[in-house]
Amino acid sequence: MKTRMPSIICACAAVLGAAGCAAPKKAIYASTQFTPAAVAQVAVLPIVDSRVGKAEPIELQKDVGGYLRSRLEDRGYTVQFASSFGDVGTVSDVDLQSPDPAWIRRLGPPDARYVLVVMLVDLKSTLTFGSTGNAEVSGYLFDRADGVMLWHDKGIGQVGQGGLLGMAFKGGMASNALRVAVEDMVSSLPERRK
Amino acid sequence: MSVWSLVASACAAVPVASAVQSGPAHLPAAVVLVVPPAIRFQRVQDEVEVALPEAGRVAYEAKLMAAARAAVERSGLAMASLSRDPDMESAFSALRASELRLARGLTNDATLTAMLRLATGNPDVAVLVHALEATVGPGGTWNAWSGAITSSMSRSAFRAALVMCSSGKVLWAQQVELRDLPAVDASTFQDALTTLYASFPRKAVSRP
Repeated sequence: MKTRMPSIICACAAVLGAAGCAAPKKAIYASTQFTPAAVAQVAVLPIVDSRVGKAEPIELQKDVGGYLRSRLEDRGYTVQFASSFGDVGTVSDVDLQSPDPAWIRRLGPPDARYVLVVMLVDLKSTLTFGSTGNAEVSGYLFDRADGVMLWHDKGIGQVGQGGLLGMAFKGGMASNALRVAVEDMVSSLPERRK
Repeated sequence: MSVWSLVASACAAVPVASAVQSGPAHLPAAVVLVVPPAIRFQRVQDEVEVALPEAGRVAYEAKLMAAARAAVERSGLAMASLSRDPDMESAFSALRASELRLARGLTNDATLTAMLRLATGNPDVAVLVHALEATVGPGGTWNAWSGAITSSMSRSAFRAALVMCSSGKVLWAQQVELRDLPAVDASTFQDALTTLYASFPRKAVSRP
């Protein structure tokens, strides 16, 4: 038994080391033009609710915006929330699929250069023998001056707990999944070093 | 509520409708051109398109077309077919490029231009645009050690909109969500289509 101890310790260290060295999440799209240090401030536009079913109650701007602000600030970005989408009027998920430069230039406040569009795609909580929560968010960072998309990624949150304990926590499952999804999405945004 | 009924209700995928735009329950005379459906299966994590086998795509398309045509027939509206005029065919191709937008009851300059071209010579023509957008996600899990559970992230959205070509006015638009990826012959697939077209408007009866 004594001889096995060092190998068990080595195995544990290897597992911990591998976990610590896990590759950072890769964004769905990251432009080669994206220089995080140049992004002095990010204007976050009103959160878009593109859910088909809107059964899960949520205070969109407060709940998603709150998580978003703290995650973006953690990554070194200065955040300002805008109250409108600017000249484009409204934004839907189809607008973001292949936006043209002219549309990007009209997006958001005229004085903002970098604008972030965040969309809530899905949110649900389910009561079963336990409870679960699912959330899906999508984010798009644009450079208005150049009319280009700099970064785009998605975040998903899948949480849940079985048994009576899980059933008791049903009320918090959707917001927990939302927090995980926002964290997952922002984790691929390159860190901004000041 | 018993534990088993809770479990059953959580597992059953029930189509849930959500009206995008409710128009009048009765429509003036319109000739409806049913556009072949847009079908998109996408992976939730990275938006990579999931390729469907050709036979599967054809089967989905046939079922969606049959439901759309049946809704138009029930409504009493006349059905149009596309003329072989090259101008009309090019306008139709332009319209199909924006199907996902139109199926949401949304229009833009490109769709309005394409619809105006389709309305040339027939101002009463309306298009019925429909789409199936499926999101393929990780399934549900259960960890026996920690008791942690998760639900599947897969879901399907069925969308349809009836739009007047001459004015670009959305006469009716509806969407239905199903928390499942139904097989084309599954009863939930048919239920979703029935729910989608349940509020499809009827032709106004003209009184003498």
